[in-house]
Amino acid sequence: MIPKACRRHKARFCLFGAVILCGLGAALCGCTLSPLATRATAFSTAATAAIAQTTNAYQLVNQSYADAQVAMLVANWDTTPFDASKIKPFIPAKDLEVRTQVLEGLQQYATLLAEVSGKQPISDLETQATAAGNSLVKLQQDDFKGFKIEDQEKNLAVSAIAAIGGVLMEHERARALPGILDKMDKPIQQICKVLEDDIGTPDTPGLADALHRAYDRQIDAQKQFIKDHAASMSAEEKRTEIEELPKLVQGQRQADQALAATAKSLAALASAHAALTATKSQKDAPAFKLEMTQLVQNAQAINGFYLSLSTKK
Amino acid sequence: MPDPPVPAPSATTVNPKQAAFNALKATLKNASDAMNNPANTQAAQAAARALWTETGEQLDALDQAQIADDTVALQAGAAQMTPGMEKLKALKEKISALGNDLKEAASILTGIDKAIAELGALGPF
Repeated sequence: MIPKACRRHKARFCLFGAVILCGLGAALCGCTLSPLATRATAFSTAATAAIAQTTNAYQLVNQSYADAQVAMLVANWDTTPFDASKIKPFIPAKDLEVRTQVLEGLQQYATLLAEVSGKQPISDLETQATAAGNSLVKLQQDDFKGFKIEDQEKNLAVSAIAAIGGVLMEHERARALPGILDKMDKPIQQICKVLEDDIGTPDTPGLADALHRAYDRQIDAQKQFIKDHAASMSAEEKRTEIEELPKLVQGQRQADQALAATAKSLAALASAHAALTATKSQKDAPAFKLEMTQLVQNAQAINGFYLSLSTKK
Repeated sequence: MPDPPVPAPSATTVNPKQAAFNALKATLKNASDAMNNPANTQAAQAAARALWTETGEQLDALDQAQIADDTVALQAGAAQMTPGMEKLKALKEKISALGNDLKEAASILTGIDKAIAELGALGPF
């Protein structure tokens, strides 16, 4: 006859062993992130940077247009009466609102992709499983003094639960994510193309042309101001005003480059999403990695432009 | 296994505003050259400046028209995102629910504890 305490001890180990084996099996089946989830997370991070810089582009155009209005007002003060109705942002409020909403929508998509693809759900699960294990330890101490569970055993059980949960989550992801990427690709391509065209170049209708000419107006207004007031300026004042001209020319070049890089980044964002969708069932995806490298490089380049512009303000 | 081909971007369509834009840009450049040419008379420079300003305003209007067209296209694109976003939100909720279910782990483990006690009472395995 086996003593009762001994039988209980044996049963405890059998059950915990089963839980742990399940967990280890689950872990071996792949509770780590799948290649698609890893790529979706990488896409999300890079997309966030590109979206933020596009927002900066709209602010840059409106700010430069406002600066040009002020410069022209000063230059033409003696000849043109002030008209308050002409002081307005270049991008009308309703159009800016739509762009802001679309960019927020893209950002929400990138964030959701990261949330469902990343490690956070598994980390949350581990936290919850740990809390559950702690509850159990507390419960035994209070009510089941005869049934001791060591911390090591508790940790193993918690790891097993987290591993099983990880597999279940990955199963859900693998089932739903490819279809979602397929569904989202067409609107993402369309939106990125429209945003890219919206920015355009100084040689096409759009924001880049408006920004380039806003600088042209500032440069012309500055030249006009110097010409009209040179006679009444001291040498030092004249030097200061003249020094503004090359700064404006440099600012125009940088702004042109910033918008060109932003448009390029939007094209890269579309390509990266297309590659993410096209390689959804692939274990290794060199084409996606290439697109991502391009997207990250563009985003970094634009960030440099906007930082340099903002520090000059 | 090589990647499947990435779909090529749709063919670039010609912007119907481009011809008018090109003509205005040419006028703008001529006006700019004339108003900045010191060989021109003051009157010629002033006339060129007036043309430059007026052409710039016409280009502004063309850019604004492009922005308005783009706004409509963006709204259409955003509407197409909705079904995919709904599915993505549902997936997120499903994954969160899996985690939330494990909040019940304490009671499950407690159940194991009780089961052990009951199994132990039954006798040897």
